Amino acid sequence: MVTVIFSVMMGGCLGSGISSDDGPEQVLQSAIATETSGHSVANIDAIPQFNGEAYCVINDNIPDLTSEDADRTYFEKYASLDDLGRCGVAFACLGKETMPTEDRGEIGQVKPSGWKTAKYDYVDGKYLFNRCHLIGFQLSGENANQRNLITGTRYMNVQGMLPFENMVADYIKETGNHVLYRVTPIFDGYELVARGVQMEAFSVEDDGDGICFNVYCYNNQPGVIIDYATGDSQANENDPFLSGNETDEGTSSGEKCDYVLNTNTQKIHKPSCSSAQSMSEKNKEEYHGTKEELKKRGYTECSICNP
Amino acid sequence: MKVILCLDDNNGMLFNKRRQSRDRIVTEDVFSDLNGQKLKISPFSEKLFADYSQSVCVDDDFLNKADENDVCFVEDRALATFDNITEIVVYKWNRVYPADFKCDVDFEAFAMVEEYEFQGFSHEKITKQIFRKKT
Repeated sequence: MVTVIFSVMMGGCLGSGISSDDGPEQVLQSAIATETSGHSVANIDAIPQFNGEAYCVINDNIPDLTSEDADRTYFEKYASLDDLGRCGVAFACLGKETMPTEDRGEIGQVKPSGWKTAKYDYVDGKYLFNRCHLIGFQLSGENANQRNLITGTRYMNVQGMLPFENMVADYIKETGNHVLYRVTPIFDGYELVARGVQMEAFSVEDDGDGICFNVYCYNNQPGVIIDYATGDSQANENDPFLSGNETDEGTSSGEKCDYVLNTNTQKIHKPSCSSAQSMSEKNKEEYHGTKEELKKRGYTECSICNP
Repeated sequence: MKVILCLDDNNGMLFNKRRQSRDRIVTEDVFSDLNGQKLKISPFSEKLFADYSQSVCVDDDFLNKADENDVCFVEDRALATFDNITEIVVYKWNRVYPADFKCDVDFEAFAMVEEYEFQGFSHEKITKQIFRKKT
């Protein structure tokens, strides 16, 4: 069955956190609607266009979850694939009980809807698409569960979803508490590749004091145009959000400049960057040359100094 | 004053008015360095140090009131305007978390004098860095 998303507009409102100068914190209250299963989901028509930030905030970061959704025991629920073979909602109450006790196994045998193998030199790891866990392996221990794997860009997987998974995983490890966690892939009509995923989380025992968010992660890849209906893709090296194409800040990829490299994280920094100043000497390398050459070596730009 | 911070790989501190992460080994390390001196904190940090309530001084205006010998644990405040910071201790999570509030310290004004790594309770590797103001 195809997921139906009703457009229930709730009135837009821009707000901010404690200080919101440098995060991708678009607070979007209009970008929610009610899904057939009863919870609010991102309304694709009201999500702002991708603007180079991996995620945006929905409904002032308030998830459609409360402690009442859990009885402080763990569970995992994965929706059946629909008639198009697409994943639905993945919902869990995560705890130490759900976390993996073994290393991750092979998942290459799963072919999520819209799966196409495509490689681009400027994509981290080359491959455009990852088999992207809705609920990350580090949280669920779910490995090759086809109800938990979608066709997701490397960018969404690493820049969008992973930081949130890290935050939840480390919170659970530290406190032993549970976290209600729901990931909803957002498809536009009958398309096979999700436009993005909505991630909601709410910590149970402390009533959201430790973990509380509601965000939309874009299934985009800077420098690549994706046909979400089929999974086909093509290069767009003029994409302004592709590293090196920025026009108002930063330098072009081919211009020789002084950089400081972190050989551990493989990040490129301006010499004046605070991260470069605080970097461990054993990981630091001073470099004069082009970013283009560094990117060929697998380096990516620091998000703070935007070299 | 001396300032203590916890930062992710992008110098992030908070997301949605919540600390990015915590680790009890870091908390223990903070107090092991204090030698009985009280740690100055904002009300935001009070729950984090609930087990050390006798060892902290909670004050919403703690940064403005801090003198040169005070040690301040900072999670939810901008620091760029404080020119009386003489030492900064940074605990780096070595992870990327979401962030909408980042550290605004200009580390160019400081020199790192010490760095070492240790295993946390919930973090595989935490890096502790100590910076002193350049003279």
